[in-house]
Amino acid sequence: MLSFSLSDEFVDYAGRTNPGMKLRQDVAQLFEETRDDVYRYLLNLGLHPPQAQEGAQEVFLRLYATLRKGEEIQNPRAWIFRVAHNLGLKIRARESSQAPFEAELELNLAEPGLDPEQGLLERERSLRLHKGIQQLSEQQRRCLFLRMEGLRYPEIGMALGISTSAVSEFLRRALVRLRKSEA
Amino acid sequence: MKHLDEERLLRYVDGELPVREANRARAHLEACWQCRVEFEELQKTIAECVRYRKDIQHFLPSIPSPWADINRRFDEIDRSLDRPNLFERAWKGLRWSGIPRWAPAPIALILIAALIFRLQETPSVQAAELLRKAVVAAGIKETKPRLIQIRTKHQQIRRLAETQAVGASSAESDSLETLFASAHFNWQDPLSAKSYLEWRDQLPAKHDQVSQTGDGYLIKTETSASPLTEATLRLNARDLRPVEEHLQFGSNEWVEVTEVAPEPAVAAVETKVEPDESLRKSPPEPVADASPATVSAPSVTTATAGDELQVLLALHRIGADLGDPIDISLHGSQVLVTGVGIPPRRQQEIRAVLASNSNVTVQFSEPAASTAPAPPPRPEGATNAEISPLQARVAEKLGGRVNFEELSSEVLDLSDQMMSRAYAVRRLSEKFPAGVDASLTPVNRQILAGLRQEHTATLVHLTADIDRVLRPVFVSLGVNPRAGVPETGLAPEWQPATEGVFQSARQVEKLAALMFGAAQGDSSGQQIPAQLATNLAQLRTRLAAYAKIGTEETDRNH
Repeated sequence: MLSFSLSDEFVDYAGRTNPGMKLRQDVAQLFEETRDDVYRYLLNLGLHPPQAQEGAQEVFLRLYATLRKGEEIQNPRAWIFRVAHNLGLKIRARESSQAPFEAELELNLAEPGLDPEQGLLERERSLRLHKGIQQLSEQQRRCLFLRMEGLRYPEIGMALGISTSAVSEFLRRALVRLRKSEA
Repeated sequence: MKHLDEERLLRYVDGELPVREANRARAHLEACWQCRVEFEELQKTIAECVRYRKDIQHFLPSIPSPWADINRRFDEIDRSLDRPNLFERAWKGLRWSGIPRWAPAPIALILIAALIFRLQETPSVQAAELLRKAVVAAGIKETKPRLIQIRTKHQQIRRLAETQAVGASSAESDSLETLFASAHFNWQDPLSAKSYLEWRDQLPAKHDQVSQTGDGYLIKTETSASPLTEATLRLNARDLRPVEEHLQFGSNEWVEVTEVAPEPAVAAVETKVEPDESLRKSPPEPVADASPATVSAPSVTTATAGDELQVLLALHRIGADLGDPIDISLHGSQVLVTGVGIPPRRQQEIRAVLASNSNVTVQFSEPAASTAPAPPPRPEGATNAEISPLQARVAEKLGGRVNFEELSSEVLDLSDQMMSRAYAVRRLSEKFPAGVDASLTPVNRQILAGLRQEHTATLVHLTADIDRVLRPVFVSLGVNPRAGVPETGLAPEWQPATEGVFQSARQVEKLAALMFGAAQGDSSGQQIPAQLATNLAQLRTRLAAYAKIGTEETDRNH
């Protein structure tokens, strides 16, 4: 789970004694902590691994450039995922001739594979949930993935450009449907 | 005993309920077995999701190559930003040298003047540098929402300069939005140096020209690497504010974006300046409110409906008028903004967006008297996996349960967005009834009309989407989607007409929820599809008439 405690520092950044160096350190630290989550999020958006890795790095470069220009970012976590989301969609649109990346999760989840101790029932449960998630609407799935990444409702709303109450409603519907799929 | 509905339960689990409500929910859960079982079921599903996230990590491919040293890339950014940049350095130096809080505005003007002087000295000003300065200048100024006019060969749209990313489009602007998206030009904020710069920066090849005109700077960028082949932006000489833009898309399509100047009534302030001069007052704000409360001494005058509108407009910029439980009211010299159950992050955003409105008091209450409006009613969730005979019939027509689920999800999502807009436009009609509307300044009337038109256009767009999605279902069920559309029955004034539109939307939402299983009720009723088709057709007819009321009134205002 991510840990973001930098927002206040970012807001007040320019007032620091050595803002340039501190800014670098903070963004670099945030990059270390968050890049894998962003990478995974971009894969889930359908980006192929090289694009997802490049995209994840690009997000943090944009964050650094934006802060360097003196712009204030109240909530870096939401900002990062919002930019990752938009960038991901843009890359997808640009590469529309290429089929979106699919990790063959269904196949892998069905195989005993990596964890032999995982019982058949557990694998079946994971597979059912996976199929349930695949059947969610686009917005429901996006809200759910962002929530799984630890974003709060307003942060998800900010990332997707929808209201907090809409986030709550999408999540509710997603969970109701997943519950049905488990039954 | 009133049980906890799914949404409240979920918000409780996620810590998104305000303290008082959370305490109530906790007490209820202790007392009620039924809700506790629901609660535990919900926790189980969440646990499944967490387990799933962990499981799939094993199966997602790892990064194809080791992460690059990001500090090197930071160096590149530093180098590109650290080119001689007198303006920004001077600004930062002054900003942190202990100057008083009131100083930024005059200092901003001095710096802008210094910059202009510098530019005048340098004939070959680089477009990128000028644009960057304009971005900085826009950041220095206290910005308020402004109106722009977008003109093409076929249409003319007047709207807020900045709109939110989702739901801001209208039926008319769809093709334009697509056009902008194809060129990677920001449709949400088309008339801004930042958007222009972002578009320009992503071009692999381009040719710039910068020239100085009588009252501003003209930046022209040509490229063959984008559907937007030629863009011209005019910046105001005094404050580098973008005032006009011409975008040429290939040889056939062009778009002209201009700032809509404030009405002459803006000058009707105590200073009695000319309209153009009013723009040049510090800080320049194109849509400054002419109401007495914001002209001078706001602390001793009574807040007006105009102030209330400005607050609503500011909230609209972050989508806080679309579902957040926020109320706005007038109290003496202050516009009181109250919110119940707003999470801390959202509170921060709301405070930030309202910070520039001097006579606004923001209160986020927990146990204090709640003034928040009732949240938009949502369909009660059906928790059983069974589907009704009607739904089974629809599923059969659609080729199976999976297709039914997909369709119902899409319809309910659209219906949800539609209701957010319906509530937003109803709030406008309640806050600004005919008498109040008429008392607003011309500029504020334009803003009000702009907000209303944006909501209406989105409603038109969303109902068209619902119609498109449902049409094949209606046809397969033998329902004529156009049959028996009644007269609009709308009042001639927009305020009372709003209620007619709202009730119609509410009816569509209810029927959709019944038909697609999100609401409990007699959903076996075979008449529901026909009722939904009729109500949807009525809503669309009403919206078409309602949109015209808006246009006529705006034309009169202009």
